Amino acid sequence: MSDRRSPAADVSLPIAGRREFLVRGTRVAGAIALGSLGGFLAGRHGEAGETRWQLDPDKCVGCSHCSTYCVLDESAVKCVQCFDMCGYCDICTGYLDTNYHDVNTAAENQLCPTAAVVREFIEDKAGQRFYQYTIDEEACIGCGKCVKGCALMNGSLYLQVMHDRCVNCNECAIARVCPTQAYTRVPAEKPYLVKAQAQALYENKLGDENRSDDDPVEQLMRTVTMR
Amino acid sequence: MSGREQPSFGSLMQNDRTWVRISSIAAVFSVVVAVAMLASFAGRVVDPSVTPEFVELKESLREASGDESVHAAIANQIRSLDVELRTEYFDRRAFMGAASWLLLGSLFVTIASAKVVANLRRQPPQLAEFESDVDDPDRIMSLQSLSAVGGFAVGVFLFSSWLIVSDRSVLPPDATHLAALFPESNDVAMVATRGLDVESEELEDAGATEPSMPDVEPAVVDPEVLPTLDEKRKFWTRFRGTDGMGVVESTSIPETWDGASGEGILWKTPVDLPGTNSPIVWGDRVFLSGATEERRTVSCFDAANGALVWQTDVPLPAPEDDGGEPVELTVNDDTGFAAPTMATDGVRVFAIFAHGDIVAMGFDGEIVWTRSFGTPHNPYGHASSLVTDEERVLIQLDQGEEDEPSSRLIALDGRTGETIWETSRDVPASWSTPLVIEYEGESQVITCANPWVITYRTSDGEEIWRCDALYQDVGPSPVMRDGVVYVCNEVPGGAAIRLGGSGDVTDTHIIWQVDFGAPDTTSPLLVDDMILMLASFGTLTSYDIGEGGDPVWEQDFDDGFKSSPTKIGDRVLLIGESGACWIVATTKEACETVSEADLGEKCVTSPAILDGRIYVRGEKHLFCIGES
Repeated sequence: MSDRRSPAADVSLPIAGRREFLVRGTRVAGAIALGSLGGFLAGRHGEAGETRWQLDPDKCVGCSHCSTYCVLDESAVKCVQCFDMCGYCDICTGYLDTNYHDVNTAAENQLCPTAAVVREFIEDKAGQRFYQYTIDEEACIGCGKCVKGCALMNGSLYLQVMHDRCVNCNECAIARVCPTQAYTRVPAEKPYLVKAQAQALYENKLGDENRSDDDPVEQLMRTVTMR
Repeated sequence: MSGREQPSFGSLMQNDRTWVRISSIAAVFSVVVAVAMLASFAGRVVDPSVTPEFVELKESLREASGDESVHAAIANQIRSLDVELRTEYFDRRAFMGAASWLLLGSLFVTIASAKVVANLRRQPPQLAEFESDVDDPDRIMSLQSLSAVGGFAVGVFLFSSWLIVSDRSVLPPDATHLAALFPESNDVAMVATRGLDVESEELEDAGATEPSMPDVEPAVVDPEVLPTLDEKRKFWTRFRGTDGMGVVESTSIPETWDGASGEGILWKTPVDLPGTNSPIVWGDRVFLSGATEERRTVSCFDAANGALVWQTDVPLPAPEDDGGEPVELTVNDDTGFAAPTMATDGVRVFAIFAHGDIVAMGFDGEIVWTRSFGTPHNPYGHASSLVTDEERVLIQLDQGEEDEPSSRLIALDGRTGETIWETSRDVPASWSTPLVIEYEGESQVITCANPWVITYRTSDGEEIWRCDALYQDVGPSPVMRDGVVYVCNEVPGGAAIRLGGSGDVTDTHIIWQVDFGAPDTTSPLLVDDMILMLASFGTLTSYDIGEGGDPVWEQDFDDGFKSSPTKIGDRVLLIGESGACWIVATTKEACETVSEADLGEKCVTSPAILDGRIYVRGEKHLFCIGES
């Protein structure tokens, strides 16, 4: 019988058994975990912060991609109303179809396909009737028709990614097709944007020293990203 | 015969076949729900209003706009279909929501019961005799792989640590650097604009002309001496008077009049062509311009009796050279084709129209020269009025959008129409009239637009200072007193800016800002130590000119307003859109209506006041109000 031995049999192995393998493996895993933890803590300490997707309203053209390209069945993008920019118009181009016949809530006169823009009478002054327009978020599909319509007047209606709905995809499906590159990353603690005109307006209001800390404008500014 | 014993619940739970059945049923249910969801998703309509049937009905409705019965029938169909489509849309969304939870639950049951089956069927391990396999090549390979992975992880850790310690980042540090990596479309637009500028300059160099009007041979102009500013102040030479402030001191006017009955009206003369410009007055002549899409005129009336002295037609723009098509221009009905008020230098009168054409005429109605600056890109129509300063005629030709403005301020030589200087402005279209002032011995012109209030030297057009104070569509014109300029617009409100700065004075020269009651069309009025702002919806708001702050008082008038308020002596004249007029006395305490009057027809223009007479243009007539 031959006494041939495998060359491997002469190798003095550093790990001889399962227990030692586990011990060493645990050490390596521990080193990796410590390194990761160190990197994570250093990142938290540095400038890197958590971010969210948001739509820059000054770049948005209301193309309707937001309603069709979101990975969610119901888009996370909804219309919002900036009341400080709104003219409270009777003939609201964000509410009424271009070819409206009467100024009422009939389907043939409304621009919104889901009647998500709610029109409410406010007051009658000097022969002019003023109406408030609010958005029914549950009904809004983010198609942007009212945004395009309102842009003809004051531009107070605009789209925003709602972060109670957005799943914050690593690569936003809408951002990939947005024709104006309006999608951007914003800090998670201030995930909403206001229009530049509204921001200037708020900054003017904040400049008024009579304002208190509890002023609603200040509260708003704490939630939106300043540019 | 022994009865068959029923299995207990506990034994059923220990029976793997029970769990197999549960798992199978849950799996089948999951598949059914998933298929239903997929079918629903495949047939989903994101926007109910783009359904072909709905679109077709809306198109039919548009075509049937003249026939009320057909219109009503189609409207009813649209309403029914709208309810149907929206019900279907929201039902589908509700189904998808409920089905998602059902699918999640059934999948959980499937997996959980399958796991129970696996546990119940698990066999205890069969221990084999231990064999030392230190020579096993697979084991050696395993150890080597483990070492390689560990080494790589350590390398990554060390590299990461170096990055952190050295404070270096492979990512752009902020949005500015990030933006620098990707050129913005604005930059591209600016490049394109520059390209156009160059092109236009090249065209000019090559001798090409501006968009043409029919050439009019310049009339022979005597080298006359222009009236001084003090001489011009005796008349009403531009919008809101020679000083542009809408103020006439030490004169009195009638307390009431009625355009319909003629009470208090010295004369009224029909004006054939529409126009929203205000009258100007020089000597015994009153001047107006008027225009439609087909015709443009300048008219001169006798101030004594309203007789039409002359009316000169201003030629329409010639068809464009390339296409031969007539120049198309769309303007807002409220603005019209002749919105800017004329101006005079005391020798000639100047008028500009919505097409961007300016004409100079002698007091005899003969055209001296014309210039065309091309159709302004203005969504409502050009409305900024002309002003004169010595021999210069100043045109604030603001146009374009915020991201692509093509505005300019132009100074023409009133004698020849030649350009003295021209300054490009980085603001979009606006409708405000500039104000010429004298400050520290220098003539300056103040302009308002979105967002900049900019002051230029009138001698060479050099910018002196600018202030970020106005937004959106800027219509009101500025006023000035004692080295402070007051501007306003519906958004963001009013502001007082101290003169004397240079460059951007936004952070240094704004004295106060207010945000309530500012108008979108009418211009502010300075009365004593107050500034009055008349909003288009009828609220007159007063602020202290020194402090701004909260309104001193507010007074509502039951009309809409486009006519700017005018101070006449110690009274303020307000003219509503319906033609209703109010003469009010304003003090720090209150605004009291002294008397009311009625023009008898709609009015959106501002009055000209001279020698106790009010010249005002209504919708169809030119009125002279006063006592004979």
